[in-house]
Amino acid sequence: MSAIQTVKHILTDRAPADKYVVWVVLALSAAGVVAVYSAVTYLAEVRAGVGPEQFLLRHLLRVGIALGAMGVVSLIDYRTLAKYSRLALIAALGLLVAVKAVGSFSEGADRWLQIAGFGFQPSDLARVALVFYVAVLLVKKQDYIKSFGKALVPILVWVFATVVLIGVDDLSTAAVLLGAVMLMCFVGRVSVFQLLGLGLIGVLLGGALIMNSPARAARVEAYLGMDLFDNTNTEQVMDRQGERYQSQQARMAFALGGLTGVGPGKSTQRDFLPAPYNDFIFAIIAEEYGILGALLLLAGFCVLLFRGYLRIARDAPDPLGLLLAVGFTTLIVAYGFVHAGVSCGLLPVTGLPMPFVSYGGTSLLANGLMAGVLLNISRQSTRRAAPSERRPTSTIA
Amino acid sequence: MSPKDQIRTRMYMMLTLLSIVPVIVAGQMGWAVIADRGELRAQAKAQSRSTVEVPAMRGRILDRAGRSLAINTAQYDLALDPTVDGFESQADAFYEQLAELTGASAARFRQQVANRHSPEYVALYDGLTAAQQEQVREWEVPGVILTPEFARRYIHETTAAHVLGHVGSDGHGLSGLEVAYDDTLAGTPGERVVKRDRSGRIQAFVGGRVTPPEHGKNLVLTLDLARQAALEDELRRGVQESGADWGTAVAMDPSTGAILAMANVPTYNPNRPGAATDAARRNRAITDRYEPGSTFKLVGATAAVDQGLVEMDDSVETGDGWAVFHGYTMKDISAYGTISFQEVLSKSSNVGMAKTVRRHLEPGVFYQYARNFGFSQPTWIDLPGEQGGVLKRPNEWSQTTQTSMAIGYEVSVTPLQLVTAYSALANGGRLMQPYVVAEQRDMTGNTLWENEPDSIRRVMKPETARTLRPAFEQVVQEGTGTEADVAGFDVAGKTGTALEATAGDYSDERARASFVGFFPADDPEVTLLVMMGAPETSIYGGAVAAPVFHRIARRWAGTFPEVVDRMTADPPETVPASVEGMRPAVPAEQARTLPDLDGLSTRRALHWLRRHGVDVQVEGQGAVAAQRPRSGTPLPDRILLEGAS
Repeated sequence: MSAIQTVKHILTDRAPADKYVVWVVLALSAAGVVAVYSAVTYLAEVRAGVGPEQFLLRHLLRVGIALGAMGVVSLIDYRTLAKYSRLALIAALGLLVAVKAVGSFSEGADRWLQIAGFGFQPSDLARVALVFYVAVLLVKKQDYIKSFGKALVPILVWVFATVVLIGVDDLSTAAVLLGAVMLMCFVGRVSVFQLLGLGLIGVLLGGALIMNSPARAARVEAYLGMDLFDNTNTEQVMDRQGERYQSQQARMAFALGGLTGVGPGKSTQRDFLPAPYNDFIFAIIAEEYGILGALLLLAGFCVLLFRGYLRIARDAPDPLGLLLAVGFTTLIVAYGFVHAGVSCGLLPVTGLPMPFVSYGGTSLLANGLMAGVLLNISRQSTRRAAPSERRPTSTIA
Repeated sequence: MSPKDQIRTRMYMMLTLLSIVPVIVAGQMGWAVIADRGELRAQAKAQSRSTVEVPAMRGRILDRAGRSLAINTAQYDLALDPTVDGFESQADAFYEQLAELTGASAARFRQQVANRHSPEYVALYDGLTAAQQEQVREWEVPGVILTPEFARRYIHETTAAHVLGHVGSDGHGLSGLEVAYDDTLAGTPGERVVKRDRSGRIQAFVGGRVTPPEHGKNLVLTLDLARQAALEDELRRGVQESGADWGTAVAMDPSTGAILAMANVPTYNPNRPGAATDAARRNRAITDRYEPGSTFKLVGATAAVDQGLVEMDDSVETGDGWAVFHGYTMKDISAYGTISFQEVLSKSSNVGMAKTVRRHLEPGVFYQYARNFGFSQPTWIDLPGEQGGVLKRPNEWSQTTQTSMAIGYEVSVTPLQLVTAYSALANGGRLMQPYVVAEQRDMTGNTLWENEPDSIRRVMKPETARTLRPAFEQVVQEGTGTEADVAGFDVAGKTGTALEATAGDYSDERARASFVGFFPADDPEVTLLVMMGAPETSIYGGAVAAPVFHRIARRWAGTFPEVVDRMTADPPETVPASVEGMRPAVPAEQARTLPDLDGLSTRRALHWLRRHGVDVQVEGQGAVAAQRPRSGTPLPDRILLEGAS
C-alpha cells in the first residue's frame, strides 16, 4: 500500500518526475502480473501443492517491493547514492564470492542467496552497482579520460572483476552488462581506439579460450543450456532436443498468437516452453495477445529508451546524471530487447528476464532501483525544475 | 568540440544504434507470424494435441436364456516410476504392502526396481483384481501407475468351449464365435482429443472432441447352458467308459436348424487356451470329416423312396450276409436272408443297402441326393474352420464307389452335416441352415438382430420323410439302436460303425461308432448325433454311441415343455429312472388310467391316446376343452374329446 502511495506521490506536481517512465513501468508491471499468472499454471501443477494463486501473490509482492524501491530511490538524490556506489559494488562482489564459496561446499553452482525466504541473486545487485560506479569513475576521470593507464585501466579493473564473477555462472548477464558498460565508456568520452582494441583483444582471447579446449567449449554450451532451467524436467528436454527446441517453441507461440492472440490465459505453449513465466514471458504474451500485444510491450521499452536518452540524459543537470541515465536506460532496455530477440528466435537462447514483466524477485528489484535513479535524475531536469528549487550541485563533479 | 557536446554526440550515436534493435526484433516477430505461420502452427498443434483411444467393451456371449457364458473382467497392471518425488521414502513400506497383497515377495519387487531397464518405468505386477487395485490406490504412493486391462472370462470354464472359442492377448478372437463374430463383439473404440504437455502428460481438455466408443454387441446363442452341460457330461462319461480316443456330440432343433448343443472330447479351458493341445482346441463337430458308415444309408434310402423306386416292404435278398461287388466282399453282421427294405435299414444290412442302391439308383441321382443333403459343402454355420467333406462326382467313381457310398464309405462328412441331414428327415424333408447365434443385443439388452431360421432346400417329399421314419423308429425299437430308446417317447435314429482306414486298408479294431437320431420321433424337438472315435469296449455304434444318446435324451427330455407334457401324461412310473444307464422298468404302454387332457392340443392328445390303444372321437377343433370319460378313470376303449371351438 505504501508503494502505491509513493507512486502517487511521485506523480504529483509537487515532485515532478518523468511521467512517461512511470507509466511505462507501471504498464509493464501490470502486463507482467497478468502474463505471469497465465504462465505459472503449468509450473504450479508440476510442483504439487502450490497453486498458481500463490505464485501470483508472490509475484505481486515482488512487484510491490520493486515499485516501492523505485519510489523511494526517486526521492534520494543520485549524487548521494553515488557516494555509496563504490561500497555497494564491493559488497555485491563480496556476495558473489560468498555465494560461489557456499555453492562449492554444497553440490552444484548456486547463484542464489536465501534472504528472508526470498531467493536473492547477488549478480542483479552487482550490475546496478557496477553501472553506478562506472558512471562515477567516468565523471571523476573526465579531465584525463583519454589516458589509457590513468582513466580506463582503473575502470576496467572493476568492470572485469564484476563481469568475470557474474560470467562464471551467468554468461548472458555478463555479456549484456559488459556491453552496457562499454557503451557508457564510449559515451563518457573514452578513446574509441582503446575501446576497439579492447574489444578485439576480448574477442580473440575469448575465442581462443573456447577454441583451445573442446571441453571448455562443451562446458560453455552445456552451461548456456543448463543455466536457463531450474527444474529437472526441462533439463531433460534440453538434453534431448537442444537449444533449437526452445527457440522453435517460442516461434510457435508467435505463430499461434497471430495478430491478436489466442486470448488471456489460453496459451498452450506455456506447457512446452521452459520457464515460461521468466525466460519466455514475451513469447507467452505474444501467443495470448498476439503480435499487437508484443509490439505494444516492445514499444514500452522504446519509450523508456527515448525518454531515458532524449529527456532524462540530455536534460540531466550534470555529466554524472547523464551517464547514469544512459547506463541504466541501456541496461533496462537491453534486457528487454535481448529477451524479445531470444523469444522470437533472433538471438541464441539466454535466460535473461524481461524487466518489470518476468517473474523473478531480484531482477524486479534491480530494475526498480534503476528506474528510481532515472526518475530522480528526471526530477532534477534542467528544463523542468526552477533553478531555485534545484539542490546544491554535486561535489563529485 | 566541447566535452559536453562530444558526450551528447556519442550518446545520440548510441541511441541510434540501440533504436535499430527493436526494429529488427519486430521484423523477426512479424516473420514468425507471417511467413512460417502455417508450418509453426501445425507443429504446435501436433505436439499439444493427441488422440487417446477410449476402449470399447467387448460384448458378452449369453446362452439361449440370457445366462452369461463369456464376460469381461477388468484387471490392472501395476507399474512404477521410482524417480517420482516422495516415492523413495515410502518404497520399503510399499514393497511390503504389495508383497502382502499379491503374495509375491518384497525382495522380488525390490530386485525388479533395482534391475529396471528404463529409469522412469518398471512393470511390477500384472493382473491385479479390481479390489486389489482399489487397495493400491488407497495407499497413495507417488509414482504408482495402474493400467486397466480388460480380460475375457469364460465363467463355465470348459462348457461350450469349442463353440465360444477364445481370445488372444490383444482381446481379439482367435477361435470359435470369438473370431467369427469378432467385429460384432469388439465394437468400435472411441477417441478423445487431449492436450499433452512437454513431458507427455495428458491433460483434461475442455471442448476437446470426444467420439464415444461403440461398445460390442452381446451374442445370444441357441445353446442352452443346462443342456450343453448335461450333454458334455454324458459325452465325457461315454468316452471314458468306452475307452474312446475322442467323442463329439451335436444337437440341433430340426425345425429351425438352431444348434442346441455342441461338444467335443477332449476339450479345453478357453480361459487358459495355451495349456491345451491343438487337438483339444479343435471343434471336431465341424472341422473333422469322417467316413460316416451306416448313418449315411439315409441318403440311399431317401433317394430310392423319394424317387418311388422302392417301397418300404419291398423284399431285399441279403442272403448269407455277404456279397461280392467287383471283387470286394461286403459283409453283414449276421445273415438275415430275405428281408423287407425297412428291415434293411433297421438291421443295418450292408448287403441289402448296397444291392438296393446298385439296382435302383442311377449314379447321378444318388449323387444328387447326397449333394442335396448338404454333403461335400460346408453348412456355413456361423462358426469358423468348417470343413466341407468329400463326395465324389459320378465321373470320378470307381466300380465300387456306388456300393461303398451306399453304406457310408468313400465319402467323408462332418458330424454337423450328418445332424443337418437327419434333421431334414425329422422335419419332413427340409434341409435347414444350422446356426448358433440367435440374437445380437446391445449393451442395454435391446435386440438389434435376430436370426431367422432358414430352409436351404427341400431334400425329400414330406411323404418320403413319413414313409422312412418308421424304419428309423424300428432301429431303436428292435434294430441295432435299441440302446438309444428312451421311456416316455419314441426315438428314431440310425447307428453307424465305420471302420477306420489305416494304411490303405480298413482296421478291424478301430472304428468310429456313432448314433444319430431324433426325438420324439413323431414330432421331433431334437436331432442328436453322438460319435466316438476308436472306442475300446466295442466298435459298434449301437453299443457305444447309442447309450450316450439315450442318456442325453433322457436328461434333456425334462427341459422341453412339449416333451414333458407328453411324458406327464403317462403314469408316474415312466418318469425317467434316476439310476444312470438303467432301462425304464415300466413300458409306456402299461399306463392304466386316463390322464387329464384338458388344454392339450387335439393332435397331442390323439397321439397319446392312440398309442395307448384308445379310439378317439373328436368334436370341434383346437385345444381339448372336455373329455369323456373324465381323467382318472381306467383306460377306456373309446373316448370323446370336445375341442374349444
